Amino acid sequence: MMNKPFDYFAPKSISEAVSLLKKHGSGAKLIAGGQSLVPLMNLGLAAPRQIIDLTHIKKDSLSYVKLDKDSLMIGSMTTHSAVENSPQIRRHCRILSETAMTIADVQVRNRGTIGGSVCHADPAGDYLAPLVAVDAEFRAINPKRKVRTISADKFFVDIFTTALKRDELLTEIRVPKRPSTRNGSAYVKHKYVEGGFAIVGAAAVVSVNKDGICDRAKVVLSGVSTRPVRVDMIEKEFRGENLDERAIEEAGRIVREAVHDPLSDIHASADYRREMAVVFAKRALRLALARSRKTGAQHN
Amino acid sequence: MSAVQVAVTRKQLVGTSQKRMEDPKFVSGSGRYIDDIKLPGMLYAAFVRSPHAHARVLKIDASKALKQPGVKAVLTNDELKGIKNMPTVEDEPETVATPRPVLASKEVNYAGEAVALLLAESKYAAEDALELVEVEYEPLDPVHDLEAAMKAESAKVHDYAPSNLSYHFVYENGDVEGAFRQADEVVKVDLVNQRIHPLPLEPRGVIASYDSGNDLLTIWLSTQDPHGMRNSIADVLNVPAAKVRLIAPDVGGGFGCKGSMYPEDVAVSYASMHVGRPVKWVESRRENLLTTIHGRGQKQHAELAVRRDGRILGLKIKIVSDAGAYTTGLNVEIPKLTYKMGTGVYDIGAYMAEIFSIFTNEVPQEAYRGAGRPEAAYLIERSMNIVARKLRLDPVKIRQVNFIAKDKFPFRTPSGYTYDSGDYHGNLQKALEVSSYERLKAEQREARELGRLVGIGLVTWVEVCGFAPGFGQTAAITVTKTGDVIITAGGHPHGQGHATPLAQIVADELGVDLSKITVVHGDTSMLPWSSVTAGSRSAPLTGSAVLLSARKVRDKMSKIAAHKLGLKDAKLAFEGGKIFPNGDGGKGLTFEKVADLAYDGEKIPPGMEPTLFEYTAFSPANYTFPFGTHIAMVEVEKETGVVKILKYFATDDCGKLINPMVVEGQVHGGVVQGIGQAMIEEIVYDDNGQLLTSTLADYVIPSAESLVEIVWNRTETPTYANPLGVKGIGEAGTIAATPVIVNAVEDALSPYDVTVERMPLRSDYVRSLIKGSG
Repeated sequence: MMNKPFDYFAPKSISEAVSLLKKHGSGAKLIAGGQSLVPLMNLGLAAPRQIIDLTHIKKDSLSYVKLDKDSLMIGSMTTHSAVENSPQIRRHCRILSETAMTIADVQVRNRGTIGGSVCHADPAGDYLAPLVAVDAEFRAINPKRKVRTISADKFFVDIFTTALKRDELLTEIRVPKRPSTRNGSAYVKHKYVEGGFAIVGAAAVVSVNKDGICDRAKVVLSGVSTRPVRVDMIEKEFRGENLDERAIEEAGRIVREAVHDPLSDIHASADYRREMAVVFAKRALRLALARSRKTGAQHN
Repeated sequence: MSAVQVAVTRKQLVGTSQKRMEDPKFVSGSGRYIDDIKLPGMLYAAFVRSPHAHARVLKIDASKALKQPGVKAVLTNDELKGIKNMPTVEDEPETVATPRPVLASKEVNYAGEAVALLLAESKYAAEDALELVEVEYEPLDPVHDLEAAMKAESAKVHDYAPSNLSYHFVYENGDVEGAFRQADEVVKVDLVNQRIHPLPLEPRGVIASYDSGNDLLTIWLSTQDPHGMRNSIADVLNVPAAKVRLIAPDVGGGFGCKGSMYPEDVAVSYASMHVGRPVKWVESRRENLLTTIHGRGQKQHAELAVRRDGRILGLKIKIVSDAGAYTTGLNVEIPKLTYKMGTGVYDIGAYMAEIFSIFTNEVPQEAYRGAGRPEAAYLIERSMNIVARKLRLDPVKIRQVNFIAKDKFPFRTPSGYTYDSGDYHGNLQKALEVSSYERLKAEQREARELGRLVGIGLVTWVEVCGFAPGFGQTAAITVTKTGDVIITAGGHPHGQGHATPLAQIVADELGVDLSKITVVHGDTSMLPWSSVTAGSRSAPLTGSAVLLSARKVRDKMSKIAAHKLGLKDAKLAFEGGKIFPNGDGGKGLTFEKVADLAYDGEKIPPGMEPTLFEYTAFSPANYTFPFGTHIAMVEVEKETGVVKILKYFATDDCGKLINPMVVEGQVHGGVVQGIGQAMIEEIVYDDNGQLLTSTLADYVIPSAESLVEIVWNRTETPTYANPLGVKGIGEAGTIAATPVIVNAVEDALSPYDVTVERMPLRSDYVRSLIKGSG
């Protein structure tokens, strides 16, 4: 199988890119690092009529990591390697660096981008769960230069489907900054082979007060369903609780209930996915909790 | 320095590790594979393939495709004039022949089967036009499940066959019934050896170029068997073999799947003759997974008549092999090899085997590294473990009780092989020492006390290789007038590293430096004949043909040198690039000088032919039977079922060694492939016969990240079957690693008292065993 013929565009600016998107409509596809789209095209599963290549847009307009008072801002064309190695991300949103580190292999991480990955919205994609867990926001721009902000909860709609409109381009992902103490997060992943997709990816974010009592505990899972599974009960149930091993076991039970109709494929059955969702949710919670309790250390 | 010391320090290359001569080429990307070759005026072929596993082909309409720019022709089977069918077996009571046209014309029998060939000016034009070839199919019921296929009410793959039975065979030796009557216990074992893919890094590829002036067809093919493929392709094309030259350039892995001829090889060759231009086709990875042969694919059943002390009195096995869509010589032969090696390293007097080979609407199964012997080792070595567990015997003990004793070699097995040589007790002992087996067991006990599921697996393997008496291999040696040495090797390499060991043999015989030696291969115009590189044949057969050719060259050069030096019947030494009488301290003549003399009819002994070229077709006295012991330690994570390999020890005996580093490399690669089958590899079809594992994201193979250090050691028990005393090592790792990992995992799970019935050991499956729902 080879690619179907397509027209190729290499816009130099964001506005040129969104104009092209508008002009060509549903047959057009943006390409960033190409690590998801190109395999699909090679398999004949995607056959865009126009390819709009974002890699020629001035580098620092879509590939950056910045900080302001409240947020960490990551340009959509930032590569997984850059996410993995950025000191700001490591300091202010460790879970994202940790996630990037688990993606595929070095070659893929050097080319693939965070924006490309989230817009592809593969249910087993690694960023989905952690971005929902840290309350990320997605900023998109349209041809009228109107900027729209979408919460991570709303962004991932279904398998390979996001809330982006046809003529919108994702420009930035924003993550609220958290105090550097008494916050912990973790992403743990169960994959069927080294470098493979997640059977289950579990992201946990935990905040504790100075007495070690839980202010916030959130678990989000990817790989188990067509979109990230946000385990709301955990957020509600554990506020004001002491998160001991008994509570974590309880969290496992809540996760089991929350996973409806899990995905099934040749690598893992639905039952196994549900069971692993529980196991990895608990592992993520334990790790996040341990990190939140390491006072003074930069472990959120 | 005394004379004795001089003799001892003589540089002997055979037996020493030498870096592979071809590696700089490969690691620097300078290899030349099929896809690197471009000929002027070359057209590109693409194949229209069946989307159905089983269907009637009603109509093929290429008119739209032919209107596309760049498209030159579309050939269906009707347009392949005057050619024969693909080879199958003779129709006999035991086997069903399957007449198969090169391109499917009436019926397709697996998803991906080629129905038409399209030729275009570029690869893109060819691929783009493919979907414009309209093929009308009438879908038929696909046959997928082996057990269901054997039932009378099953749909049939071939209407003309009485059933889905491709091949049936029963064999009995010794008093089987008596053995089972005497047994204290009968242990029954059911195993699945799943279908997997050989998966060479370089997929298949072929270029054909027809020269009408000379009526000569030159074919470049990614193959393990240049002469064999020349003969087969010429036969199907109905042209004399003399009118076909076949060249195998660098071949990026074969593992058995490139030892067969495929429809594409014939169709592309025909196309070049048809249009009078060179034609190229290179398989995509999807086509590779979909249409290149698969391997293993057996359901295995064993019954063992066992005495309380662990002695096996009798063995009955039943193999249900998945032939795929067609009967071929190999898919009959491979399960037969499983039966022939079914008793392994054990002295089992009473043996019975029954083989059913079953048609399915899937790709035909043929040879994958080990071809029949990994399946045999899996069956007997898993069985031994299961028996040991039942009798509460250590896996070491049960093997020691049943081994063929050292003094019984040559040993005639019940299936009719004569094992050449062996010292199974000695090899096992060494393996126990180098792995510190007792310490491993102590570590395991400690781990278990902490609740960890740690297991130890042990396998004592044997295989048959060095095929075969009567099926030889060739080599020739040329010494040029300038004294350069050219080895023309019959066995073609596809990654094994033939060149260096062959050069080592010659360097020792002729006393020249390795840098003076060039190794060439893979062109039917170079040698009168050669045979396939498979079955760990190259060291025993090609190596011996090279050795014997070198000895002939040496003999002739000795005579020329003696003639020049005016010596009679002198025994000449070949060392350090010189040829000299023993004891003259290395004066004599230079190697180059003698080579130069050989080309001058005036300067050689009267009656001798000038030039230096010697050829040998070597046929061995027997097969060879290398053996060994592999030991692995694994840990299963209870919560997830994830298997982690902690330690791996391979202690192999392949007789004498030519280049230990090359041998160790072969073991490493083989072990990795064997682990792949045990842990993650599996070809999966759905019930409609659609391949679900058609990409490398779904057909997963091991990577360095998931592996462990392989600690390799050896014992050396020479064979009499060839003058080098070598046995071959190409398949050993693949044979041993699969059962050793499964044995280890079963041992790790012993607190749950479960039997591992199938592979791969995906965490999902292992977890289900722990939960008792497996």
